[in-house]
Amino acid sequence: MNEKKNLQDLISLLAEKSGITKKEAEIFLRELFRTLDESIFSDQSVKIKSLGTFKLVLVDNRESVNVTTGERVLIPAHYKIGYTPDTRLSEKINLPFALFESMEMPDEITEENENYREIIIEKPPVSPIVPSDSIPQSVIDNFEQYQELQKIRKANDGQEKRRHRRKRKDWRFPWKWLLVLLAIGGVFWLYRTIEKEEKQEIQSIMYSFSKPKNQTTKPDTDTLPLPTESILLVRPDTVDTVKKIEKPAEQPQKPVPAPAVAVKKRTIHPGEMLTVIALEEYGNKIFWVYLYLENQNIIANPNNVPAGTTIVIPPASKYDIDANDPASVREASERMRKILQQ
Amino acid sequence: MNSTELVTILSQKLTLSKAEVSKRLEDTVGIIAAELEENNSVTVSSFGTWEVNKRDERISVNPATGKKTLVPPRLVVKFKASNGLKDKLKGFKS
Repeated sequence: MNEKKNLQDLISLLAEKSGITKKEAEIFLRELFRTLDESIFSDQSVKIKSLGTFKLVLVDNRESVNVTTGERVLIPAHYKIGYTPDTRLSEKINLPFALFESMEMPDEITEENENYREIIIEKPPVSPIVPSDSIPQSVIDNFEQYQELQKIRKANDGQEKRRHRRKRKDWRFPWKWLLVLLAIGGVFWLYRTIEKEEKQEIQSIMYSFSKPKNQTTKPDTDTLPLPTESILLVRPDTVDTVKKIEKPAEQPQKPVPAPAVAVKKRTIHPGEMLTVIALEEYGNKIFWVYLYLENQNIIANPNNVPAGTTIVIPPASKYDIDANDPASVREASERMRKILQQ
Repeated sequence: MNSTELVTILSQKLTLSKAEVSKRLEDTVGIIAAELEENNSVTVSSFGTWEVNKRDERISVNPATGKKTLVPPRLVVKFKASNGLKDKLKGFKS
């Protein structure tokens, strides 16, 4: 991290990687760079696979000013060595910022108008993939600022049509009111989700009393047979089902097994990342953390899972994975932070 | 010159098989790339240095439509020629 490697380092690393002596590595490297050097001048363009292209670039005459004397000076036309990195290399390097996209800015936001930096992040972000070491602080800062901007964009989406605005110099968009509304909305949303979860819990308890072994995890409310203990009305056509249920209930010693779940597995293809799989399986990239937790014994480095690895896809209910639930997403985000701190 | 030509030249100069040269070249490139991924810079004196720079986010304006776009920050690989190499350029005439 922020280290400077020189030729000696390269020699050691190459000797180790290639299984050759340091002397051999040194000879190779020296000859390599000498040849590159010569070829740049003789061929004017040198392309090295997976590294990039070196080109001789002609720059025109340019007028400039001598900084000490202040007099005008002409920089004559000359050659420069241009370098374009290989595409895959650029992508690899930019990985921490890979999930960012350019986005439109609403007209009110300008470089001078610093308001957008005041907004607090409400929704946890989809995290970019990070290198195994800690993220430099500047990247974190920029990322947070970037999220704030995304927040603004969403908040402002409805605003663009309105043309009549007060254009007083000091007028600011009432962000605080928006924030209050969103907070209230968030509370309602959480409330609804909790209610839903409780309902499902109750149903699954009822479910485990009544249904035989070979059913799938999620109980279906429409076909749920009613337990005899409950006070709910029994429809005539379900009487038979109820009778059948009574029998298992009268064998109290028989343990009720959890509905059998086939273990879902998946093999990693080359270039496939946990985030992509999480998106497919759970609807949100952030839930890669659970794929990692479930398979910690076989995944050493969550950022680089070798192709061919077979991982277990845990059922969403195991970790309360719900792409629509901000609490679930936040929890995953927290876990991610913990994982990356290791 | 491309990679294959480079391999040919090197295998002649070093009396090594092309396969061996190719492998070593690939390893070398891999090492440089790995160091760059770790956010380290790689310097070969008398040739140049590779480093990773950050481009800040910026607001760019499409002159045709006047629409503003926020371009996110990026990490890019940059190569700076060494002074020795640059000096050679001075005498160069195509």
